[in-house]
Amino acid sequence: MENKKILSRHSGIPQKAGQNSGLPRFKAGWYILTALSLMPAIIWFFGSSTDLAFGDLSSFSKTMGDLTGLCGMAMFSLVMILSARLKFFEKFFNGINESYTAHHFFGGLSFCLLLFHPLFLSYNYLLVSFQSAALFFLPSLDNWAKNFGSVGLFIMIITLCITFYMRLKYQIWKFTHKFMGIAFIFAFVHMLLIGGDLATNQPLKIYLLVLGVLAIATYFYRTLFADYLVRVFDYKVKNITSYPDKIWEIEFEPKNRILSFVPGQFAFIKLYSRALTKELHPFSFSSAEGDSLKIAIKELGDWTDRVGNLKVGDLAKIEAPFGSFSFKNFRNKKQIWIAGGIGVTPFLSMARSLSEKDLDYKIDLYYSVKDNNCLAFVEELKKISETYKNLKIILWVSAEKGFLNFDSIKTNTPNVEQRDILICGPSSMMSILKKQFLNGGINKKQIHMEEFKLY
Amino acid sequence: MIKNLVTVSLIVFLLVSVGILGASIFVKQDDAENNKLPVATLPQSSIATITINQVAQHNSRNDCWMIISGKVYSLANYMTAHPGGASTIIPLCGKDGTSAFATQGGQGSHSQTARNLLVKYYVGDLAK
Repeated sequence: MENKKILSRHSGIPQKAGQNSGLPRFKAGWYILTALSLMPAIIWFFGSSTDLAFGDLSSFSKTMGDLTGLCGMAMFSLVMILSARLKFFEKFFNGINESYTAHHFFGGLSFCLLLFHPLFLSYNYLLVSFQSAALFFLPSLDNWAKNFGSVGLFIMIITLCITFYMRLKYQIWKFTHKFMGIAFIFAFVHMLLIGGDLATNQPLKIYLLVLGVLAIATYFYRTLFADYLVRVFDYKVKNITSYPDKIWEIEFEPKNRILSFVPGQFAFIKLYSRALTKELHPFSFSSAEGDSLKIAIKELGDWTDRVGNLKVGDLAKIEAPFGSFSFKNFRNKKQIWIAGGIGVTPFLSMARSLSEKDLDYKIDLYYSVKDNNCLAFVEELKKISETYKNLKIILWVSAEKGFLNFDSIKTNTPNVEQRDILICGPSSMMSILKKQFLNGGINKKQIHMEEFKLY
Repeated sequence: MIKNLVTVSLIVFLLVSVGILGASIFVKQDDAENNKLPVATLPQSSIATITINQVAQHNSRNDCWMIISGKVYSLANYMTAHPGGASTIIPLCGKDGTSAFATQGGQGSHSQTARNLLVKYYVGDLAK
C-alpha cells in the first residue's frame, strides 16, 4: 500500500518482534514536547529579572515578545529533531505516524509563537512612532541580528503557507518543506546574535544552543545528506506480480544484510529504476515474517502508475522497519481486522505469518472492496483461512452491500465489544468506522488504526 | 485545529505588519509628535543641568539614570522593554553608558530606532 500525501497506515505500541504484551497507549511524547517547549520560560523565570516584567503594557509586550521567541525557538528545534524519524521516537508516540502528527501540530504552534514574537516587540517601537515600528519590520544595515530573524520568519511563512494551504504533489511539497531547515538556520543565527536574556542567562543560552545544534544536525542527517548518513538495507527486485485493481506485488532479495520485521510493519523505500523517479515512499510489507520481502503497491498516482515498469534487478534502498500495527502487539487474541481496498496489505502480511503458535487467536477479517473487479489476494486469504480455521474471511463488496458499518459487523461477529479492532483503509472509511464503534460503546483503547499522515 | 490557529495568527501578523508599514507612509504627524521631540525643540532654559554626582545617586533598578554622550536619561521605566534585557542596563545605572550604548555592549551599535527611542527618556544635560 502506497501513501499519498495523506494515507492511512498504522498505530499501536512499538515492541520487539514477537513480544506480545498490549501496553497501554500512553502518549508521553506529547507531554515531553510540551514540557521541553515551555522550559525556556521556566529557565527565564528563575534566571532573569522578572519583577517588572509585566509591570506595564510596554514591559508586558517586551516580555511576551521574548517569551514567544524563546519558546517558539525551543519548539521549532524540537519539531526539527522529531523529523529525524528515529525508531526511538516510536516509544513515545504510539508509532512513527503519531510522531508526524505531533511534528505537524507543534510545527504549526511554533510558527504561531514566532509570528507573535515580532508583533509583541513592535509595541515599544510603536510608542516612538509608526516609522520606528515600520523600520523594526524592515531589514536594516545596522542590525544584522534582526535581519536574520526577519529572513528566517519570511521563509517560514512561505513554506508553511504551502504546507497548510496548498495541495501539491507529495514530492513537490516535500521539496518545499526542506526550506524549513534554512529558515531554522536563519532563526538560530538570529538567536545567537540578538543578545538580551540569551546573552546573560547562561542556562537559557545553553538549553537553546543544545536544542538548536541537535535540530541542525537532524537537518543535515535527515534532509541534506540522508543518502549518505541514514542506514538502509540494500535490496533488489526479484519478482513483480500483477493483481486485479491495478495492484502490483514486488518481491525483493537482499544484496547483503537481511531485514527482519513484524507483520504489519512498514518501510520507507527508494527504488532505483529507469522507470521511476528516485522518490522515498512508505509501504507496508505484504510478505510473511521470515519470508522473502514483499510489498504491495496500488496505482494511485503519477509515481505508482509506473511501478509495473520496474525490472528484475532494479535496486531498492529500504529504511525499516517502522510501526507496530500488528496483531501480535495486542494482548487480546480475539480480534477484528478491517481492510479497505489496498489497506489489506498489512493484514495480508499478518495472515501469511499465521502459524501453529497462533491457533489461540480468533480473528474475523473484513475485506471491503468497491466492486468485484477489485478482489486482489482473496483466493490466497481464503486458502489461509482453510488452514487456520481461527481466521474467518468476510468479503464485503460495497457496490452490492453499501459501505461496511458497525451494524453489519455486529451481525457477522458476535460480542464485538470483547474484541480488539484493527483498521487499515482510506482515512474517511477509518474515521467513520471509528466513530461508529465509539458510538456503539466500544472502548477507544480497543480500536487500533493504521494511520500515516505526512501532511 | 492547528490550521485554524495558524490562519488566525497569520491574519493578525499580516494585518498588524502591513498596518504599521502603511501607517508609517501615510501618518505624517506621528513624526512631528514623537521622533522630533529631541532636546533641540525644547526651550534652552528648560533643559536641566545635572552633575555626575547627582546621576550617581540614581543607581538602582527602580531609579536608574544613565549618561549617554553628555546627556542624562532616566531608564527605569524602559528597563524591561529593552530588547537587550534589563540586565544589560542595570550595571550602568548611575554611570556613564556612552561606550556601552555606542557599541551595544560590544556587539555593534544601536540602531537609529533605538536612538529615537532614547529621546523619550531624556532628563537633562550633564554639567560640564
